[in-house]
Amino acid sequence: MSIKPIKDIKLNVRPVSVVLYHDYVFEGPCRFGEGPQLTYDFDKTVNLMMCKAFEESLTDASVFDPKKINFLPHILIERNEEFIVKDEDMEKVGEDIENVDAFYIHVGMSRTYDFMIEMAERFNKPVILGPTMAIDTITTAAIAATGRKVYPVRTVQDVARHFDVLRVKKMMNNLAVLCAARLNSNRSFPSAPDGFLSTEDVTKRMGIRFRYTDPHEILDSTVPRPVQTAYDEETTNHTTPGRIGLNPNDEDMAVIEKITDEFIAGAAEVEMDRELIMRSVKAWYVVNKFMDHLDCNAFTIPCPDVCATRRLNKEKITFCLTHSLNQEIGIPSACEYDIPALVTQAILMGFSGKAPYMGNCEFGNIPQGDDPGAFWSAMFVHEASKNEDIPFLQKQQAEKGGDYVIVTHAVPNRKFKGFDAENAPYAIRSFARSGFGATIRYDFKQDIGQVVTLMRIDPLCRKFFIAKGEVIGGIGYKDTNCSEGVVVKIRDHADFFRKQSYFGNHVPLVYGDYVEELKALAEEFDMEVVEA
Amino acid sequence: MSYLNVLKRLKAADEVSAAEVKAILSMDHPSEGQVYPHLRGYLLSRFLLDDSVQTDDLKKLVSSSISKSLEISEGDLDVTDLSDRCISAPSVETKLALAMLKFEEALGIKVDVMERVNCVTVADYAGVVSRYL
Repeated sequence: MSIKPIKDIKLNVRPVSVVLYHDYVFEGPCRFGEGPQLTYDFDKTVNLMMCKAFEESLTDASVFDPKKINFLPHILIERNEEFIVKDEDMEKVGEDIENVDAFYIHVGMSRTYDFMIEMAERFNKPVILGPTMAIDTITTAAIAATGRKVYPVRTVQDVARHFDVLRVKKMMNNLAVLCAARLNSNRSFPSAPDGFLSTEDVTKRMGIRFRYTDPHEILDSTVPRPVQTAYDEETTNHTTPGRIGLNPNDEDMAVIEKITDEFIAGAAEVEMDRELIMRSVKAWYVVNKFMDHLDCNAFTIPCPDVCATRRLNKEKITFCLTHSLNQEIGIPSACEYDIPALVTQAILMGFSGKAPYMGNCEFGNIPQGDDPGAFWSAMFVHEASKNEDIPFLQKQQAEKGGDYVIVTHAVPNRKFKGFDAENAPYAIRSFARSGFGATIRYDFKQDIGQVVTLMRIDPLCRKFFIAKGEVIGGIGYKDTNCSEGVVVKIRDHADFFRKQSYFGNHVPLVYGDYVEELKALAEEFDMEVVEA
Repeated sequence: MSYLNVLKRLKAADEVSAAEVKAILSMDHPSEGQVYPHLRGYLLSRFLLDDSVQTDDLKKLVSSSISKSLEISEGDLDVTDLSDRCISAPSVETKLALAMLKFEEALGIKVDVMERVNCVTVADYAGVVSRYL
């Protein structure tokens, strides 16, 4: 398959050095020194030494991650004290401009402001000036006044942070969401009416594209069809009779069986039949064939809207595992047709390089004593949840104090610590109490003390809701269904709830602290930040 | 250090660097190996450093010199290197370029700019200079 996960997107940066050598030896109000300091040789030596140091700094992987940034060849623009902007120099800077995402400008010794301003105006690409020793604000103010994007920096770490924001912005511009719509196309009324009111607005603001398919076509395509003949209704799908579908053939089935066996072999506990697990793996595989076919790299499908057709029950499939496995390979994938949650996932994976989690958000303060309350009693039915997890969380909360939120859904994954990290330990249990619908069960207790960043976008796509918290435990590892989640200590749950109420239910999260990065991205998209 | 002592030190440094140049000029087509000790001696004297400095890296020699005279660590130099010329040139490159140009002037040679810029160590520069003599 040739799906292009957004996690692999790099920012193409063109480094440009603009330097000035005085042709004549003289001193004046903007040039001072004596002896060799006033020579062309001195100007050129110092400037080229600085350019060399600049070029070397681009290879410092501790600052500029080569997995994220692709530096194009460094361009050197040399001029004299006549301050002429030459077309031939602009042509060098603008060559192959459609593949340039940003300029990184090294300002050499002396005055080259006019060249940088014209560059920004002509090519309309974001400009980041390298840290210099003096008066950067001259250029930033002048470029900003033209309406072009410019980013002030004090250190190379600032430069890298701006690149990261631009890279995530580029990811959004390259995100194409496959929406398997049923009762509505921008949001699911039965489960995620807090979705975007208008996906057009999302496209306008973030550049994200949306493509649509029918859940019945996907479900029809999960039936293996070794041979399909065009125009033949017998060998093709019910919903697209006579048309060759994306159903698994024998070759695909061999791959699906292999993935299933590896998935089972890697699990610490398996409480499902292989056949039923394979149905979920097959659904994931077919969804990927659809994304490949439709040039998409993200996926969402409604739950209740499709559940109501009874086809999920008939096919013994839920899409929980599809979402988990997609997230592990850098494909945003949201439960319940929750497009804001999907876009949030994309942003979080962009900054973190880790697979995100998403779930229903409830306030997780458990009453002390034997009766944990109706929510906890109804949601978590396994003995281990009731007799071990809940008392453990009560103890944690009594010891640590403070406020908590619980994020629950059956879509954890094995790459919370990074796409390149080893798979985390996991179990396989069903979503349905009757045994179908494979889900990954992840014991969040192993991450106690770790920081997470939570986020959601509002239905109008105008605001980011951002919070930071600390994992204090998990629940539902032994359970089935959506009864699985992480409990996070937050600053103030009343404040969290009041603010979240204008954003919606599912709150995706990712391990690590990315609050500042998210704020910078919000500014980039001209969106407001609401922090809890 | 008192002003008088500084002047004495600068005068002594001038004498040492002049002697190093003279030693190079006294040789007929000196090799890199022959230029090297005198070049190193020249640079140490220009940068007011003594023989205890181990590095052969040109920029590190300059950093040592500046940080020593400012009584700050070399790490701090990176964040305090402010231009006094209103034109964004860092002190290290400025001082190194001046030392090289003055050395070449004293020897009566003019090294190609790119060859000069590509020198990382004293040995590199000794090799380049020897080819011009």
